[in-house]
Amino acid sequence: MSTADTTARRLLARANDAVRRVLDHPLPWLALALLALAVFQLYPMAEAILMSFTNESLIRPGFEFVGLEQYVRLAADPQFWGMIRVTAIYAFFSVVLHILLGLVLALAIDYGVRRGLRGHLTTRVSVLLAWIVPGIIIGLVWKVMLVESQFGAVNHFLGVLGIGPVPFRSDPTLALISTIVAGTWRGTAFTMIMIYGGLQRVPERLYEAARVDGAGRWDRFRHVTLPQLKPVLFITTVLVTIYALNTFDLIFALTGGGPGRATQVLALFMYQEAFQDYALGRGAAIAVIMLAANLLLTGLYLYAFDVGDEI
Amino acid sequence: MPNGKRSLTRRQSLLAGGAIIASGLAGCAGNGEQGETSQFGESDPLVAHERFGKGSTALTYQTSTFYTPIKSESDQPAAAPALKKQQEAWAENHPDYRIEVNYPAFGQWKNNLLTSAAEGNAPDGSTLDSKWVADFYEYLQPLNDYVEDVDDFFPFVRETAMRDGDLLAAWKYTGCRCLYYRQDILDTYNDGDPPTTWEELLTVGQDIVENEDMEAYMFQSSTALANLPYFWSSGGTLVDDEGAPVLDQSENRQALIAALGFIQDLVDTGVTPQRVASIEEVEALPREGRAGNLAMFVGNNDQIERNLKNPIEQADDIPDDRWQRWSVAKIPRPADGEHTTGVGGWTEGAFIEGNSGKAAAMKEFIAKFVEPESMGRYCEAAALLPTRESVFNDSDLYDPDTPYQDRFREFLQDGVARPARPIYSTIESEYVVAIENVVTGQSDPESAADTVIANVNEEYEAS
Repeated sequence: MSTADTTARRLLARANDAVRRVLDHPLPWLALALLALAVFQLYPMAEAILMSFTNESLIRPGFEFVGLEQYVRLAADPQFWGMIRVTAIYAFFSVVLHILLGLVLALAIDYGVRRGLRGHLTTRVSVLLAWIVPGIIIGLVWKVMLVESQFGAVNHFLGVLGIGPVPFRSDPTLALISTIVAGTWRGTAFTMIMIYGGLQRVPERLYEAARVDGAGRWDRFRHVTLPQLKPVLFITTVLVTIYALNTFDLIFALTGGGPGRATQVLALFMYQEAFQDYALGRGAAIAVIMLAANLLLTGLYLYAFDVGDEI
Repeated sequence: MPNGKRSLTRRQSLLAGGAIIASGLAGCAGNGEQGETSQFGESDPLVAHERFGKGSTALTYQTSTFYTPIKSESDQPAAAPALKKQQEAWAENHPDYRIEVNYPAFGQWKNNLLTSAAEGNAPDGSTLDSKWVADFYEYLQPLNDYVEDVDDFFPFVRETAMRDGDLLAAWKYTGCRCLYYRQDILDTYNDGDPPTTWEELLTVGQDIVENEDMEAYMFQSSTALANLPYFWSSGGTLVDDEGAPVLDQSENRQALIAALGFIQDLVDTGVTPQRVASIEEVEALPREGRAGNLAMFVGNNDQIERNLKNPIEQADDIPDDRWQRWSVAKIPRPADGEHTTGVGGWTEGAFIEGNSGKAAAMKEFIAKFVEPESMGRYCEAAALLPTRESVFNDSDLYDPDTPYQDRFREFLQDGVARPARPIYSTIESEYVVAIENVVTGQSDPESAADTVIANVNEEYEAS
């Protein structure tokens, strides 16, 4: 074997090693995803944060950096705090109802599957249909159903029973309740699927062991099912909270934030500032506040659920 | 730091990038104003739904399906032939050009157009709601050299569409708000006369509610223009000559409180149901009227034809002449106030700069909408009101058989246009919120008025 051959083989082996090392490293495999994340998520977020320190407007050329002025204005605006209140009420009840109803539905379907009952697939598909339909359509459907005259399906039905007409959209409290109900109707399918998936991962032997120990149905649910579902409940709660805090399409179509500002959540306020008053800087400041709220709540959930090692 | 001082802004960088990509694509497509041959043959129609003209040089234009010249595609088929004649005339006079027409979804049209204009990517021309014009002042190009006899337009047109002597939008038609009332019901409760003052409306309305199984009076709470006549009739003014809001001046604040107080009285007495706070669609009120649930409402002038006469004549189970029991009158005013009505309508505007080649072709296209002959022909067919006094006065140009046109012309004399100032969009949304807050009992008229004033002033100072 000549010296040239040996050198070539060494070079080839080194090249192979280098390629293997690169391929063994996670970065090349993640590069595309990271690039997409940077372009479509991080860059717009950085732009929004930068914009929130400006007075940029769609109807005025040029802009100036105004520091924290947009945030100070928001903090001094009593209406902003009113919208924080509305958003908090909407998000709190949405999250609670989503999780509770999703849990009940998932348990019912899981029970049906384990018992070999018919109809569980139809139930899952029916519930999922609501989730597939875009929020704006759901909002419009509920808006038509809740029309406050004989033309509204719900009030027509209530009228037959001698009730109403109920001011579902023109009474401030009922309007907020209507948006929560419509949002829950749509989003429960998501929590149901997530929790149902979690239930499939609970080992049967844990239930058998609990039965051997004399645990009743409630005890098995409390001491076996719930602890096993904790990671899934954490993820689901985080996602539902983000969904509830950022809800725009459904409320926009159903009430438009009214009557007055009774159902005006932060996402709607952001839209109004950015695309009705064309104050892009202020709209961006509201978006940044929403981002901060989402991050803060996720941190709180992480602490409360104590699932650091399980996810 | 002012943006203009930077050597290269983010927006400019993005625009430059976009321009490079667009140039590349344009190069691939072999586009250009010079040396092209038309892709259309003899058999292609001169005017189609998505193209006006057959020339090789393309212009871009956005409009609504209300204004397509093709009857089968139109939301306003009766007016399509008039528009077709107009577009064909333009196409024949501009054989080298064609207009590529885009029909954006209405909901996001204005926002998308404004964003495009800010980025420098606006279409060459677009249809614009008259209330949008002020927000596009920075981007619209003068039409002075193309539109003749600007003084012939009604004063509210000139006030809104002109800026520093430049005509920035061709206001092609207008419309006004009025009181629709059931003549048979008013025959019983007010000797056949419609209520002319607020007090009269409250009295008659209460009689109707007590004795008939119907609502007495409704209005669209979500539309400022339908409710601004209450404010204007009370002597209020929204902005001064400089475009600054003047709602905080004593007489304007009082007018605002009076208008909101009247709305509160309507709800408190039961003349108007609280559910007006959930009325958003313009068709909702005539629909209630047709169903026999409503005696009076504030509507647009074209609704007599579009939402009352036509649907009733098309319905099999209702006598064709049933729509005739609906009459129109001026919107009631305070006892010591003047009648007013809000006037709206749509305009055409050019975004392409210059006065030669493509720019001239587009501006001539736009100017055609407000030529007396095309305006008269279109308004007559569409049951709309012309914006030129000469068209109104010439029965050869405009002689509609739409009901109550003479009354609408009379109402137009009291017409007040929305102020063509950017702050109006804030005034509008705050006024609507105030009305809904008063209707639903979330606020009393005085505090609702003060909230409007504070928010409008804050927005103006910040902008």
